[in-house]
Amino acid sequence: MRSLALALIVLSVAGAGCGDSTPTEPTPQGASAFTETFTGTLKASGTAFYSFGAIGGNVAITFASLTNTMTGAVVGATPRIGLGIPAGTGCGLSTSLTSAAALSAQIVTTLAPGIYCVSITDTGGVTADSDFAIRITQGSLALLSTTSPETFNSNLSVNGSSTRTFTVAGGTGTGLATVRLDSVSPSTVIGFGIGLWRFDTGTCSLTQVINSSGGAQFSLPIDQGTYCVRVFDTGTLTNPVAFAANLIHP
Amino acid sequence: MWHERPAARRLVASGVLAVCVALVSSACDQSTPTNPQTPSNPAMTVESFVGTLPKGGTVFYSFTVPVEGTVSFTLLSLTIGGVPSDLAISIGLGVPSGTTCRTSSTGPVTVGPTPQQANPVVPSVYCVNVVDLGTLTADANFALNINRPR
Repeated sequence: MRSLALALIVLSVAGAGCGDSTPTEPTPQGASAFTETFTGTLKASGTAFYSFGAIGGNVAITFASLTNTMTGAVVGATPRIGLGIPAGTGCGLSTSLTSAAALSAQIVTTLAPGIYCVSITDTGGVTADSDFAIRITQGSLALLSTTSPETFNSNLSVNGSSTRTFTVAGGTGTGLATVRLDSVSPSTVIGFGIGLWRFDTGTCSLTQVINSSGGAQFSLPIDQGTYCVRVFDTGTLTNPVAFAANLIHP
Repeated sequence: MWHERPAARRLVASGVLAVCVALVSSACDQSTPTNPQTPSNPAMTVESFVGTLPKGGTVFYSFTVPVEGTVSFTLLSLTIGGVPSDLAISIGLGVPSGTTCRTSSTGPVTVGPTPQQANPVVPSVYCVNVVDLGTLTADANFALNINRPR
């Protein structure tokens, strides 16, 4: 639908420009807020960039996940995240910073309509190929928050995992999300993580992980969007276990 | 309404946008054949894109066009193992989109001293996509001039 809307807008604007000696660049107008996710693999000392069209207005860039490609373990590196305009064979940065993965935007700015890029560059903390996820959000999303607090109780099988998604409404600014692994029965260490939910792949790109048999919790700033809590066997289970977790978010 | 979309849908949207611009531009040209829309003599500059095109691969280079005019490409050299090649490769004007250059026009070109391709453009960010058509026998070094309004 959005493609069609864009097409109609462009046809209208460009068509109106016929015969005009100084036509201006077609600009999508009235486009809705949306997100897109830049994913890929960052090599040691490597860099990658992604181009996107800005509709004009607020843009939030969130470096949300960095995990070892082979093991899936969260990588605690602080690559350089940048925003700029595609230039040459890269992204000509106008702003950049180093940051660990988080669920609140590291870069928030206002952009005029046009083509921009985000980039990620290893600053030395990446020692092996690592998968990353960077969310680009334009505008205020018309999201409704899911129930909070919310319990997440289920069973975990050997080599298995269990994921619960939750949503934080648009227009709420940055709030605090707290997720807690209350118990594992029988008491066993399992993996417990929080991350960005990927609609394109139906997977959870993890931001932080703790191995715990209960009592562990995360409290971290969080923006509008859809997220996930993932509970998984770290390779130690010999029998299924039951777990109880709790989610509190804006 | 909001959409949490896959990158593919954004690419489709970009493609639709590019096609629409091309169609309307074409229609405008046909309706006013004796009244070109491009300014007569915008100041020009040349950017050089020198790189290696992997066998079977694609590379691209982005640039900004600040005023309306024409962008032309000249493939100045193509060498394989240091030996000049007369093989054709594909060159096309496009728009940076995601991790690629989404082209709206492409064509096979061989090395020559004059522009092999020219495209009317409005102010925006563009890219030139260089693609092996499947004929390269090994990685090839190339030099490409981008002549654009400045």
